[in-house]
Amino acid sequence: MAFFEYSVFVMSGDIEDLPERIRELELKRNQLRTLIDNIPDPVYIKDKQCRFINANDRLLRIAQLENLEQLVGKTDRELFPHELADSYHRDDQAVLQHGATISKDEPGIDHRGEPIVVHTYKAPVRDRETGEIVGLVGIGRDVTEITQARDQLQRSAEDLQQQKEELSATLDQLKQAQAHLVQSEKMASLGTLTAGVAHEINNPINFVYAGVNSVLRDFADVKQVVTEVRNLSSRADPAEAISRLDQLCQDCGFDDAFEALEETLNDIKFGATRITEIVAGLSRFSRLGNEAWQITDIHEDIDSVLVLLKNKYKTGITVVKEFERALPQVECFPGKLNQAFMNILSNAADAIQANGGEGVVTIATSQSERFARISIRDDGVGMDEATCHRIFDPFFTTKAVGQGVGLGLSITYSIIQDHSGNLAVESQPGKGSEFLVELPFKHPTPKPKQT
Amino acid sequence: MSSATQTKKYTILYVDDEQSNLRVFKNAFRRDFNILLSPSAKEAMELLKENAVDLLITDQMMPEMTGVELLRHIKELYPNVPPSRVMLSGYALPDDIELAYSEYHLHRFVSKPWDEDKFKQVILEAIKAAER
Repeated sequence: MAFFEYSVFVMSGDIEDLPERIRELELKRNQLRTLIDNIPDPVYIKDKQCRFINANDRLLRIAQLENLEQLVGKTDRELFPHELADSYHRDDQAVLQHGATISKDEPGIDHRGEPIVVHTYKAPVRDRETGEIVGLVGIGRDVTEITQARDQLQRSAEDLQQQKEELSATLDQLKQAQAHLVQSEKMASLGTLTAGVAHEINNPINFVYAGVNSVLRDFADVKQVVTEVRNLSSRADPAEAISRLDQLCQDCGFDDAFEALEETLNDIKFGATRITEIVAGLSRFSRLGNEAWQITDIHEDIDSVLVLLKNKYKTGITVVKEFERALPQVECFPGKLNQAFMNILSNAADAIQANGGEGVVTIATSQSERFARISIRDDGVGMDEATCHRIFDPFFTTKAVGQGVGLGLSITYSIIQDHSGNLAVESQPGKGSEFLVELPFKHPTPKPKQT
Repeated sequence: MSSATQTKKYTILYVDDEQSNLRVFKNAFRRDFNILLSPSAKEAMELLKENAVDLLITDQMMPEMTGVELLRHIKELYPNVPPSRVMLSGYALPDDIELAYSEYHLHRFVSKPWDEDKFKQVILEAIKAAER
């Protein structure tokens, strides 16, 4: 009871009140006793020699003692495994010698003798008057669960960090793969484009190339006759010369050659004009090196796309244009927009091809207050509802391997979005599909980012 | 055909939807062959009913009926005529050409633009191959 003796000395008052005072003191002592016994952590007081002089029930249970008397005067070495006791002793010394306070996690045991983690707090007790250190108080809180939870949390955090890194790496890989696939889709579109251009351009090149050879041969035939005509005046016998001229004309096929010359020259001119137009259409289609907002005539752009898709559209497909003649020009990225139209028109041709190869593609334009509307309708195979829902998803394709990777319409969708426009589709199996593009005439600010 | 009297001239039927191609072909080869021209596969089949033709040359990409389809019809109509067929195209899908070779008696495929001398060689080879 040494701890509470201190209180007794400070008490003072009339001697008659002594029984009353003692009763009060008893009450206070009881209050304090109850208080420390009810602290859920072991609490203890040691003297300068590191001997226990007081403690609460919790500590007694851990020390496996019945009552306080059994504890008083004992040291840690008598109560706990030596390793633990030695460590406790070192801390006690630090408090007693140097007035240090200790606050740390350390190994301990619970009332069953099981190892636990304890958060120990130790502080010196000083003589009130001299300030000399006379002992120490300590509290040891069982933090095993908290520590385990904290360790668990730490591990979870590390796991999360690792997962985050893995996800980040996976995302990078996916981005690379996506870039790769977008490239594949571009190559597939390029294939379509090349085929279209090759077909379109090789015909007129043929008129020019084969035509020039023809002209040379026809000209050689005609030249013989012309030379003879020039020499006519110097001939001694004009009548005979004219008859020889006639014979020459017959022999070299002058009339045929003469007629062919004019025809072929016209065909060469026609071919050269066609090639020029195709090249102009190509540069209009791609707007090479021009990725800025531009004002453009949608009808001309659609026409330039149709030229490039000629080989897909030539056999069996009729194109009907219902163009609104008063349609205002549209502010857009023409190169990208043409790519979008090309994807839709190319799909329309494929849908007709898949439906037996004969059909009609109707391209209709109209306008509302803010939007240009472009409807592209085919009477091809059409799509069921499930397919319709997925056609703008990346990598969704109904086509065979090697005919694009399923990014065409997803790229188209993002192009229309970049223009702050709308893209919708309606379709019925066996009846055909309609793609409706809506584009604002003026591009909204801030400018959408270019993809 | 003022000079048609000398020796027997082979007859070639050329089918192409481009009038300019037809004219250029005729003007290049009229000295050496009898040339029949047709702007569509349909008309070509009519011409074949009435004319003996030594060689058929057809474009591939044409409206209504492609060159390969024309070859198929011809094979069905004249199953015993030897393979004196040449196809000409600015661009054709490899699969279509394969089919024409394996199924429809195609002798050679020639890409536009053609070179007069080389094309003439191909024409003569195709005719000779059919005469054997």
